[in-house]
Amino acid sequence: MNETATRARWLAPPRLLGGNRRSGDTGWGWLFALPAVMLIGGFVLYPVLNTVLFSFTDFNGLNPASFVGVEQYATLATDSVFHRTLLNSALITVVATALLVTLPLPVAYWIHRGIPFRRFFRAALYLPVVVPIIVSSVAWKWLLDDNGLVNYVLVTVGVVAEPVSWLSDPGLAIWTVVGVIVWRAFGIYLLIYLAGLATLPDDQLEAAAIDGAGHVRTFGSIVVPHLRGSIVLSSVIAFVAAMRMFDEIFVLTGGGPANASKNTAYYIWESAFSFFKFGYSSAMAVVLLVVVLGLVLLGLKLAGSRR
Amino acid sequence: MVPNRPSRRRFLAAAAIGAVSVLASACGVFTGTSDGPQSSGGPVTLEFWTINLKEGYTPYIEGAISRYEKQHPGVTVKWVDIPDFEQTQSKLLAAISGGATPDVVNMTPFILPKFAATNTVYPLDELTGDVQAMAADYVPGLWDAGVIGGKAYAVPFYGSVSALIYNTELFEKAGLDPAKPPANWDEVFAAAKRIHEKTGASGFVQTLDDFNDAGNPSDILAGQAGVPLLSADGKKAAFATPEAAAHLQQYVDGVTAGWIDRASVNGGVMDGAKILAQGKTGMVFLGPWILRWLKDNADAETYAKFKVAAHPAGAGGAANGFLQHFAIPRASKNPKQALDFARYFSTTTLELAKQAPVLPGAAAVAKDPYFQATEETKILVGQEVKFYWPKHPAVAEMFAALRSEFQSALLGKKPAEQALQDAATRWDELIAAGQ
Repeated sequence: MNETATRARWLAPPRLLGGNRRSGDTGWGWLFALPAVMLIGGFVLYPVLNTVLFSFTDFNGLNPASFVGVEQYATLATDSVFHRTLLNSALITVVATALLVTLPLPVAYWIHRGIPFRRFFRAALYLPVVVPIIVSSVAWKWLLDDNGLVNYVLVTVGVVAEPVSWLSDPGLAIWTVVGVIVWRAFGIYLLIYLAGLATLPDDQLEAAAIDGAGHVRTFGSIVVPHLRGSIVLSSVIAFVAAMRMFDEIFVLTGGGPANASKNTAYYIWESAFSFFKFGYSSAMAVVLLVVVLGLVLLGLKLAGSRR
Repeated sequence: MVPNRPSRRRFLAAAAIGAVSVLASACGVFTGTSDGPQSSGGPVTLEFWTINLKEGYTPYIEGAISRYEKQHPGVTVKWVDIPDFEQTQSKLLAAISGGATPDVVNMTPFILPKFAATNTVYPLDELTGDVQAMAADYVPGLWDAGVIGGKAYAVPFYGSVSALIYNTELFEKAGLDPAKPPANWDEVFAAAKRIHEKTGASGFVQTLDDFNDAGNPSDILAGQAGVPLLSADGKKAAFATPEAAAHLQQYVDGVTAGWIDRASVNGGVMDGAKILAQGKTGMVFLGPWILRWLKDNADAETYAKFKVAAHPAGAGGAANGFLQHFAIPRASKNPKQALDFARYFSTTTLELAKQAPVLPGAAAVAKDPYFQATEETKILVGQEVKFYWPKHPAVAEMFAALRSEFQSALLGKKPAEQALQDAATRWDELIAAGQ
């Protein structure tokens, strides 16, 4: 076997090797995969399995656990706070995902087409991503306070007559939290779309321009279809992140007022670490896992079938 | 002949069952944590956890530890400071689960009942025969906060008693006499209305968070309205009364009209201090310890406007308080030495009080002439202090429910009576469920 053939064998995907695959290859494959398998097993599968086990116990973190069957799940069925958190999680997830998937798209297109100060905009929009979440959330808490800068500006310019209770109005608190999440995560999705647009051949955009297509037509007929993969990826990432979102709620509202902004992830933490109800919080985590996994798989299937 | 081999599916099923069994036993779900070994001879190392004392108090802590080590050759104290009390809870849980607990841990009364109920901290009578004599060494209200079911579980470190801290400039602008601050809650409400009416600032901030000397729901109900939180036998919530509802209605009216700052609904203890520092509220009800923060975060001219007075008298009869105390985890390797260190450390608080006005746990220290020197220190030692919250393992969840119902009432989502009734129902459920 000459050198070229050997290199081709190494570079070719395993499926293409067909009957030529040697039995030793499988062993080497497992060996190479071992670090990843160990990491995923230790840091993902083990905690997940542990959580499932906890959910059938009354574990309080301090004493030996007792098996209680499905009691924790039965309690969940009648816990009005849990139901409220599920609704809040759904609202936060739907709105945050929709905004984070759609808003960065046109911005990415504008930046890609070379608007003035594109580097500045790219950096400025990505900046919130690199600021620690706790730091930015504390800053927003001060800005959005009844006596904070945002209200000062709004009252001064006459947009509102009275300061707005961004964080203590039960009808507003959850949307304020969503706004801060979108501000903070916007740059991540912008970057994903910019990476996707980097693979868009210039001649397609030039051809569209020659054919007389404006920006709206070019965006709708060329850019969005080209970014379909990135949009699916962004949707999955944004969806999962929004369902698990905790930090902003912890700092901005503490889940209040009157549970108005408490999501399931926050309630899981609160039940475990404030109330010492690890069994109960594990049951909530399992329900959340099943919901997230089910919806992600459904979404991916739908996206795949459309393709 | 091909030998009989297990099918791949069977092999995978067996492997999965094996993995589950191994993980179930490894994670300790059904085995719990083991008690630590007891004291042995030879050199002793004590791990000592405090809450948020590293910043600003390191020389005090290290100096006190150094003195103890000199007095006790062979004993080494390893100091670990946890930045906030919520982290203490989770870190302590992790430490207990991992079998590597500290020997002396700074706890708050919000978590002590859970650790006592789960037998993960020592009742002090298991470590010393003179618990009754020990009790006499401490400020009664602070000692009582660590007594659960008749047994003492903690050594008081330091406490804080609510005081009235007010902005004299806003008082003057409102036509109130800064030399005569409100002495009871009717006067507080009247002064707050006047401040709001005359200056536009809110009358006061009284947050509903867990940090008790900020005035959480337990203070509003038990301290101010004088309504007991639990029935005499401790088995039922007792606060859903017309008197309590009428008092809560005052808060509802105040938040609606603006004479109680809206930050009270969802803010934390430091939000109240911040609004006071900004000159946007007339009064807060915090321990005098906040004066150090105000001094650091307001300019000298603004700070000079603040004055401290005794906590307004409520129907409960005593000022509401908060404290930090020391508990000895069961897994401590040297629990008796740990208790000795805890008792020693509780006597070092004069140095701490000189840096931030706190009430020492040790009665002898609280009698030091230093506390008669200024108004704020006089207030600390001159008021009767009481801890109104129930010493129940589910206390954190009970207060979360009560706070949520209070918020519903303050925001007009529920009538005050209904909010109290719903909270009482939830308390009854939690009490009935035990731990």
